[in-house]
Amino acid sequence: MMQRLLPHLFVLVLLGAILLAPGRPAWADEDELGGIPRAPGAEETYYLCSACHSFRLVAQQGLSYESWKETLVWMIEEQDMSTPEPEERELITKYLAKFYGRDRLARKLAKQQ
Amino acid sequence: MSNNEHVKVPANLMRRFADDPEQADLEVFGRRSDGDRRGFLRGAGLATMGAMLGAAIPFNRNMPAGFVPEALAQKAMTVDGKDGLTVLNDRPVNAETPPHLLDDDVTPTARHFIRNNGIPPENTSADGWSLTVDGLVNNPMTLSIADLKSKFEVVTERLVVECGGNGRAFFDPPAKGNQWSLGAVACSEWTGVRYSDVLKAAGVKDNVIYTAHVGADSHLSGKDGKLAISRGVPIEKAMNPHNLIAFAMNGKELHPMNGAPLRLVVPGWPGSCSQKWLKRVWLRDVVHDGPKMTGKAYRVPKYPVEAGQKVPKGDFEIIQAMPVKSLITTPQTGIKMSGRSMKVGGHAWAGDGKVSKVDVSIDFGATWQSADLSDPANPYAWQRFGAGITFPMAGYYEVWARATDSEGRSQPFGIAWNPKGYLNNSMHRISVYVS
Repeated sequence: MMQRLLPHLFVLVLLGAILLAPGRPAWADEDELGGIPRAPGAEETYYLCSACHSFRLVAQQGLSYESWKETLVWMIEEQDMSTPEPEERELITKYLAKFYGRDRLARKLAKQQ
Repeated sequence: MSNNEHVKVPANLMRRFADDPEQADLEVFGRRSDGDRRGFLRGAGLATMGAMLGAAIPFNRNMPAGFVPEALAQKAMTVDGKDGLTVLNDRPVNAETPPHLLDDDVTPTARHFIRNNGIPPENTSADGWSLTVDGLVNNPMTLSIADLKSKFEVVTERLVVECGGNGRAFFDPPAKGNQWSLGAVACSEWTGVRYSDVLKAAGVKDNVIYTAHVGADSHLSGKDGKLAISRGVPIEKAMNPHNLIAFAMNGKELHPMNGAPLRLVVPGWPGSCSQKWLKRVWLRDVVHDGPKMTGKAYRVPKYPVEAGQKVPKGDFEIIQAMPVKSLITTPQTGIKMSGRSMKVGGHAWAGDGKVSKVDVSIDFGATWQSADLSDPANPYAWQRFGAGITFPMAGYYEVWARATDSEGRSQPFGIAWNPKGYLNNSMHRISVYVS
């Protein structure tokens, strides 16, 4: 009996451990944001961009704040992206410039391939 | 293998970890490791990693910091009918081929890169597909694929198609767009009818200067009737007998991601001239102004610019022929060898022209030796080059290849930087470790 129950208990205990684990617990929000850096603006940026294309397109870029700003203008004017409120737009631009800026290490590494 | 298909593996997972493992731990999993650089500090990130794996991790205490579970490392995105491609973007799909997988003289369909601007059509069946030729023509026509096959001569040619942005990843400062490195190029065997024969049958009027191409893909925004991309070429280029309206690739139907069931193949010019899922060709008396014809798309400055320079919109011109280029496809970069000699080889191509010679160097360009170079199977096919090289002693080497076209133009070492990251034909180099 115990032998048959053991695997189930094991799963239950582990599940409990996962659910009760401290740190950032829920996986729901984590995987919805595709694992992008968690910082102010992450959610707004992720949903705005990935409405039309995968965030992988964003994650490939390394652009300055000015260049991201221009990109948003282009997206709105020519690609029919919805226009975020000014405050949100600023938050998104800053987020992009910070995590997908010119000096990203990942880009440097990619170039060495 | 993960059984949780809903959880996405983040983009560039391995690259992020190679770059800064502990930062990647934090960004990807929310993980902080214990003081001994093992385990999960107060469980931080364990739940996320478990969710991504679709299972709990009993021995998580032993897991080193900056460690990527093998199940995630293996979970690369794949596209049906494609093999070994590096996926740059999964929606829409954009994928390139590592150089060593492009060694075949005729690129297998499974190894042909994918470049999408919009959402590919769902229905790619040849049944019921039609092509309309209209605008400034004497006989507007709508043709089925069967009509094309019966009314016009069917020809097969090996044709190079290269994305205008191939090599963009090496631009500094970075240029916007998909970060293609080396493999957005291919030379498959295409079967179809000559674009020029169809245009002649339609009776192009004298005042036509440009074609306009329309495909069945839709805009990423999903907006009805908005085209993702519609490019064209000057009528003189359109009349070149090597452009095909193709319905077969390597003897079989086209791959859906390469434009099934019907596409243009306009070799030697940016791949975007080769409209996929072709539905309409429209003849115009002005330079076509469809999406990605205007602004800075597929355009470069009219004059040389400094890296990072701002260029006014009016100072751009439309890219025409692609420049001379070569790719080393054997051996794979990073090869470790114990002997002193090896064979190096690959392909070279030159836009509308022909490659006249390829040279290789093993000493960072100080000296060069000429490689054997074959003639193209037909105009616009790439040409194979090969050379036997000998290394004088053990150590680190780079093999560089440099092609020269029949006009005497060679590949540069540096990149002629331009704001949108086009036309990077700088020399390809591979690393070789000799022990």
